[in-house]
Amino acid sequence: MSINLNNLRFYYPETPNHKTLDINAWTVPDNKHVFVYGESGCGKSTLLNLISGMLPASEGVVTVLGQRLDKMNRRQRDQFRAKHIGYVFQQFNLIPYLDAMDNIRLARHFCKDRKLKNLQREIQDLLSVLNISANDWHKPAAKLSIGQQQRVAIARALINKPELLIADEPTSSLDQRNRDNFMSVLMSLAETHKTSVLFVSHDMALSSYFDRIDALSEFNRSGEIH
Amino acid sequence: MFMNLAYKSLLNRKGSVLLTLMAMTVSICVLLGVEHIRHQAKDSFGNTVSGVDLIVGARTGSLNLLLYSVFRIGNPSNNIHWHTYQTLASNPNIKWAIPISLGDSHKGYRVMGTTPEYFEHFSYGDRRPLKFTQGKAFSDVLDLVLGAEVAKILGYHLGDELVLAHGIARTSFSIHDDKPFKVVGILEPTGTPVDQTLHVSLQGIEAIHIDWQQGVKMPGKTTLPSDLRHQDLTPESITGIMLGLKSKMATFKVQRDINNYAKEPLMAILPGVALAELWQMMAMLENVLRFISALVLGAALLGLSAMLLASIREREHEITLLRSIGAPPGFLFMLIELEALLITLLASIMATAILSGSIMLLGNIIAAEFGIFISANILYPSNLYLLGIVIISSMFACAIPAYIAFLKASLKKS
Repeated sequence: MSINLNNLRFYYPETPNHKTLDINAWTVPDNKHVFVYGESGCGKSTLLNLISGMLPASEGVVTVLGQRLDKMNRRQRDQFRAKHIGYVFQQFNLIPYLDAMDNIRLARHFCKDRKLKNLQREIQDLLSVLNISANDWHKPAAKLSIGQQQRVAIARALINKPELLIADEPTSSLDQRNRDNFMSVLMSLAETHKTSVLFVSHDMALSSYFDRIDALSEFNRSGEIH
Repeated sequence: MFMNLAYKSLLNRKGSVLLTLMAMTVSICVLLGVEHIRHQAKDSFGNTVSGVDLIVGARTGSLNLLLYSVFRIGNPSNNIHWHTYQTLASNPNIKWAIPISLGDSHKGYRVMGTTPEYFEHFSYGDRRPLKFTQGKAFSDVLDLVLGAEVAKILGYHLGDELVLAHGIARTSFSIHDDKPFKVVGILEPTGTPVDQTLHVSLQGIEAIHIDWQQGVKMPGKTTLPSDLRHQDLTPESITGIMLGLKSKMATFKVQRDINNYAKEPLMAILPGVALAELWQMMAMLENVLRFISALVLGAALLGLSAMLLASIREREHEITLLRSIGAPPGFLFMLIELEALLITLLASIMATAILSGSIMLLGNIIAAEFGIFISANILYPSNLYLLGIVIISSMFACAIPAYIAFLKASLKKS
């Protein structure tokens, strides 16, 4: 199992009665590409923060790639994330003043176990696959188009060969053509790297790329919108 | 990578970083400058006189004696008899004794009567003797040697004739205009009160007062300068004596003997001790200067801290992003601190360079205009120590924005 949530609850300490998330059981199997549908404000970001270990669960069990995140301390979760999880946001995926190469290198920097050997080669291969021309490798990220930035973000997310890729509305700032382009490279790279994908969006049109489609409102019982 | 990130992030915010950098540079410049000038002033102050073991005058306060004998400030309380000088000069512990006689002036500059040995034995700074840029020591009764500043400001040259005024007021109505002096020597600049002094022989002082009584010229009596050489011009009294001892070990014994001299109330001071005492009195001013420069630095540090704090607001996405790729919150703390460190280090280097650069450029002009020598070397231990304090306090000041970045990274409400 890539992800296994059990009796998971999350609430902010100040408001223990107001549960942002309340999930009985939810799983993502290995090598599956799962689409989670959710309107904004239904706890999507909180769910992703819990799975990636940025937030600790208030109660319950969070198992990701066979490891109990709820048993780890923050440092261990940070290391775990760096090593095993790739993350793509809706926007602001790159440090604007670093170039594409440095942005990707930075992701490797926090993953202590991986060697720096051949890093240059790996980055260049990924960027080529993602259709970023060599001219753009050394431009500050802010100078790249949004489409290019999102594709560099895929490279950044995959450089440490993570077993799980989390994407949080990564296409909502892209136009039709860029979106299709983004989705097809993302899915094919996930296929070749044998990476599970957890893709969250409110755009049902993208669901055709995925093996399974879940609605967050169905497995999150908190049911409250805030 | 860490360094690269901090460096490029600063570069990305050129405008605000540059302004903060300038504020820091200016304040560090002020801080170092004040400290340097204080240091230099203290040094040059302490170096006003060297090689003189004891200064003897009529019984008074030690500071008063120091002020009138060395700094030509204020007035002697009384004179010393000439035979006292002779007694001291023949003391076996004393290597040399130079009499000085004050009380006249020229256009506000003090005139000092002494003997030619003064130019041999008096030294300043690190035992630097007096040197002549032009001419030589006086040998005739109405010869005169100018300090560097007097010659420069009043525009006198060798061979010029000038008259002295009775008393020390800038504008005097009693002028010794019947006996003009001739400039025979001009001294090198020393950065000490020597530069502001006109030196004549004791006989010269005696000669101009020959027809005077009670500070007023007696009408009808005129001794012509040509007759002076035939007169006995040994002074009856002098203002003070500078002593050089054969052995430093005897200093306190000789001092005690002079203080207990039975025939006349005398006082002997160690110039170094009296100079230190005098400097102590300026400690207040010194502390005020330091306090002000510390405030300037404090303001710049707050500016630095505020700039970094504002940057965190515009970098929230960056923080989230760094967290998502596994950066621990401590990394964000260190990143902000590193940015503060880079700015402070760069500002310190620039301030040091600007300060020593401008001293190098302006040093000669300052020395020529004001007779003050400022060393361009500002990196001595106490200033390095000061820079260390600056860097440490910038780390403390920027711990606030760094901690806020840390909180944001921990997804805690902040």
